[in-house]
Amino acid sequence: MEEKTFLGKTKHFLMFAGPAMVGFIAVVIIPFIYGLYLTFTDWGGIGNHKNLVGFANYITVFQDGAFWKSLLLTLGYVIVSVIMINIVAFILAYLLTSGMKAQNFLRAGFFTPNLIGGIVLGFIWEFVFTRTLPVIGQTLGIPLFEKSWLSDPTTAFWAFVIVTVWQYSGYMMLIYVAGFVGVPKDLTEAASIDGCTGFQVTRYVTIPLMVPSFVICLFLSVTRTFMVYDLNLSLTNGGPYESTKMAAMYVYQMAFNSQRYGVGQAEAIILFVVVAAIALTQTYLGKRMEVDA
Amino acid sequence: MKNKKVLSVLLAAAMAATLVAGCGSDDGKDNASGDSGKTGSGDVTLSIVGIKSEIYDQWEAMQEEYTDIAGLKGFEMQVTGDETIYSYMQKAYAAGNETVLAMFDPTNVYDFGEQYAVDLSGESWVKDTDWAISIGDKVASFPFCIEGRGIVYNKTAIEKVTGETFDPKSITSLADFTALCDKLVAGGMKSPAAIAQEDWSLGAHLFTLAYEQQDFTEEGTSAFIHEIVDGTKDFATNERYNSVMDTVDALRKYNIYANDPLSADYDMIASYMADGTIAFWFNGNWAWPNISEYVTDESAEFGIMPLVQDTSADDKANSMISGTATKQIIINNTASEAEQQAAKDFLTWLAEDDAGKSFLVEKANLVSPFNNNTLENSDPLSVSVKQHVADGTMYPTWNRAPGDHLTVVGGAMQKYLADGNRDALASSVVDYWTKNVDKID
Repeated sequence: MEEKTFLGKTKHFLMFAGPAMVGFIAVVIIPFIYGLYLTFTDWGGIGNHKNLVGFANYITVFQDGAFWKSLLLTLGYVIVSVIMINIVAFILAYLLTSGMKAQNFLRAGFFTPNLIGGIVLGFIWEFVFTRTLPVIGQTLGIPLFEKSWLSDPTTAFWAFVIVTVWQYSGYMMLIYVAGFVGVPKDLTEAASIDGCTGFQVTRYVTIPLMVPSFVICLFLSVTRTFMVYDLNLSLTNGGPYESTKMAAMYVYQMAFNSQRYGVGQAEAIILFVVVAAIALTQTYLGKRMEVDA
Repeated sequence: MKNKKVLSVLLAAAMAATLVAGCGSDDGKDNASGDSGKTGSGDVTLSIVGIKSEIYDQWEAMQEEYTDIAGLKGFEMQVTGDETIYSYMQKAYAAGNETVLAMFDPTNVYDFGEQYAVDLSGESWVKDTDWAISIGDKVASFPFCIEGRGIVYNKTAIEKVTGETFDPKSITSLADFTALCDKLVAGGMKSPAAIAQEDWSLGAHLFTLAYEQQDFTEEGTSAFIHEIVDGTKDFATNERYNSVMDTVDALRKYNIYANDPLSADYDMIASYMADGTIAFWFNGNWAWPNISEYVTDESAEFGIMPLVQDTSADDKANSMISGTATKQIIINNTASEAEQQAAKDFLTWLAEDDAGKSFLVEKANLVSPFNNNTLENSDPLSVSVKQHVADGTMYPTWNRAPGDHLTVVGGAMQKYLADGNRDALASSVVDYWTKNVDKID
């Protein structure tokens, strides 16, 4: 029974997890540690001159008002997007599990935006916002659409949110659909027999049993919206006048365009810590609310 | 049980093998391209990155032709895609798989040239051009093409509306320009001008005129930047800054996108320019491929004129356009001896051989930076730029602005297009330079 010894266990572990672990260490762990090291240097991105500068980069980051502004903007964007994505996704899932006609076709339809890459999606919507909507607005005299939404900071922000919701709600819908389908029929039936109305069944039976779906959806939407870059690049490119530059784009430009690699890397680490803290707290709290059927 | 175990071992081994093979084959590729030159001259493969996207097709055809002429093993072209050439090269250098040749913007030659560029001072073409970039004693780059920027005009459209012959030389001040615009408006051309909203156009092309035209030299421009940072000069009240912005205001006024300047669409402007809906567009001769796509009247005439300003008639700004060799090719010193030699031969061929000259001017439609290339361009904007070079009415563009200048100042300019607040613009510019003045010398 070699499986029982420590060596045997290690052997078994390596046999199955080893290859994946090598890959994970090579492309995630090592670059992460190396990146952490770079935050303590004054490296500009090219050449071999690297001097250790201690915490100077972090001090620069804390003095860089534009970074914190962009992080705050990202936070606002995340909050609004996550709430809207999940509300839309939940309603869609609710409707599409209630036994309406063509629900499979509609599920596929709502999921499709998620299959289009963020870059392409951004270009499509850029066209819609700058060319199509203004023409409709001017022809029909709707003031809201007369100007391109992407040329004003406020409307550009909301345009960005709308496209994000459009992109992710189909995906989250699928997870909620699985949640709805996974609720045992006997429980909802029992509740109905006990006199619950349709709303009460959803509120007191279905939703508590679907907490795992909420946890997953919130986790996915929080992390994805926090790290958004592709859509940001192709839809608004940070504009108009840098008013929609999200944290990831700010970090990228700091490292590569402004050629301050150490500072950019330090900002990336801070972004990582913020996202990790929020996502983990949310998952931990969500897990505590889970109930067994 | 036994079978399962064997199977799992096999599976794990297979996965591990593919993983290693994956890494291995990459290494193999790098070595192949890195060492191929050492085996003999017939085995040299040249590679290049950063070709202007407008001339991909012509470049590929030329590459094939040249591979046969020079007996190369191959000639490959890499594209940077959505990335800037700067970050692309940064990664390539870090990974050690950089191309033999690289086509850069001038600012990148300063970024990478000192460390990576082969010295080209011994090449025979050096005497025929004024546009190579030298770093210290070394000639770091081969100038590929000259591009100029100013106000692009559609001569035919102007003449059709005004009924008079249009001579760009007759427009020597902002007053002349606005008078002509008013005439065009009266003649039925509702909005005679356009300004692109792209940050590179606003930040790197339009706004930098306010620095360059301080004294029209590159050294003077760098010195001026230092002066506005240390407070010797006040930027907000600077005469040149204000006269450039006065003209920008005129363009804003006659802008076809005046109601919503940031919704301007580059391709739409090109089409308006081509069909005569508008007559003026601040841009450069690289816009020709975009414009020509929409030109239906083959006899229509176009050209580039200076961004005229409300200054005295003898102000150089009213007669000269800004231009420089905007694409520069370097040879990486990390390439093997044989590759470097093949690359040098290639550059000499481009500059001196009839086929090379013809490629640049007749096929790719670019303005040659070499005096010994007397071929005629066929596209009107290049002809116009070439004319400015010949007439001595082109002053050298200042190209030392760091990579993020165009995003930051371009962003501030976008804001200006919308709100017209000149003080806010000036203070964000001074702010930018205060943080970044250490990047220029």
